[in-house]
Amino acid sequence: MLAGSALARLVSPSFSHGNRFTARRTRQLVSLAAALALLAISRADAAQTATPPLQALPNHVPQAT
Amino acid sequence: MLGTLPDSQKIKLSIVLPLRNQDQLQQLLASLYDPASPNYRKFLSVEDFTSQFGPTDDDFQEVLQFANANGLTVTGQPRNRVAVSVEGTVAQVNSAFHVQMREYQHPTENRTFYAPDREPSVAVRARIAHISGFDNLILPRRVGGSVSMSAATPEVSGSGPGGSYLGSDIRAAYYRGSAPTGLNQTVGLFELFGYAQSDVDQSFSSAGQTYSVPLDTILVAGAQNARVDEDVEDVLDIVAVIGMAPGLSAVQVYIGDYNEDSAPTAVLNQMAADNTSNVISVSYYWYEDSPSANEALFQTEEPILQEMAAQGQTFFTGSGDSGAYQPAQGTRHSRCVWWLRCRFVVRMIGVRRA
Repeated sequence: MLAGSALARLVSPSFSHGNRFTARRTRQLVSLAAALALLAISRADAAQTATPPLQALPNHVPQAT
Repeated sequence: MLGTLPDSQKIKLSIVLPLRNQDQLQQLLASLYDPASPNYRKFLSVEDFTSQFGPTDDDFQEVLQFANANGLTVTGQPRNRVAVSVEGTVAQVNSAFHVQMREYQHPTENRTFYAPDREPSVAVRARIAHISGFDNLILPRRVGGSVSMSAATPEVSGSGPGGSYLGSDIRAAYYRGSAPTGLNQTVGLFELFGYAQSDVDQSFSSAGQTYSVPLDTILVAGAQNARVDEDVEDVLDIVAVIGMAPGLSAVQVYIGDYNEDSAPTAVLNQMAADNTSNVISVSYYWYEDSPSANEALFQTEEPILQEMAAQGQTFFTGSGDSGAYQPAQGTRHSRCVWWLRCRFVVRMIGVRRA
């Protein structure tokens, strides 16, 4: 029963007031981390799809022009 | 300047990507040709060369995507990833490379030529070594100058019509009939004009000879096998090679578009990327009109010959009279024929009769 109670504390965020607070904070942190991850991914995607800087290619104009 | 090129005019370009790992490649090349090395003659396949030294697939794909995004038609994407052949209208080229293609009167020839008004630039992350085809100021030239069957001199003592020399004469002079015949070898010929096989047939039949070597015609980057008035260069090359080596498995005739400045690069690279000819012969030369542009041409095309050397392909060219000597600095020829200084070329020095 003791082991069962410990397990219940872990899996049930509503087991006590303190656990509810911890669970809410955890959910907030997870949400924040997910948002940051999405932001990082979208920035990486944007970097991939953005037009790269122009690369100069010398020695293509003949002197005769 | 005469004006701008019409927007609808088509232009062909060869976009060349640089090789990777040059230091290791130079070490490998040295060992491949060193009889004392365990690597001696252990030549690479195209796949091995590309994975070790070729441009990355990511870079290659980016160039293809760039071409497609700008409306350019990809006409050649050889498996060694070194060069991408594209074709587009002047409007598409102007937009993709941030130039204005203009037309000029040629300074020494009775024709016009085109060129960009400024150095091109390109929105691609992959490093581009060079792009061939932006101008047609200097067109490739035959090593021996203009030749014609009807111009055969009557005093020569060959066994062909009018005393002309046949490939079999040259073979007899060098080998006296006891030489290998080229069995299991394939020769690749670099050509910039089309030819008619009937002219090859006639060359042999008029000399009372036959041949059995298959001809394999390979059209590069959208070129046509359009026989021009003088397909003498192709026919002479084919007949001479078969006469010298009548037991060849095949003669591969690579044909590029003479009127396109991008053709030499595209043809050379196709010969390397196919790696089906173990002996390659070129009887043309080309160059740019300034030392810096000629250096760029060298830096662009010499790596293709490095690949050929790594794959065991031997590259022969006729230097002709004009290439027989290292020319003086400052003369026109000092800027020509980058392979005068290329160590992967076997130069055959021929001297024209006076």
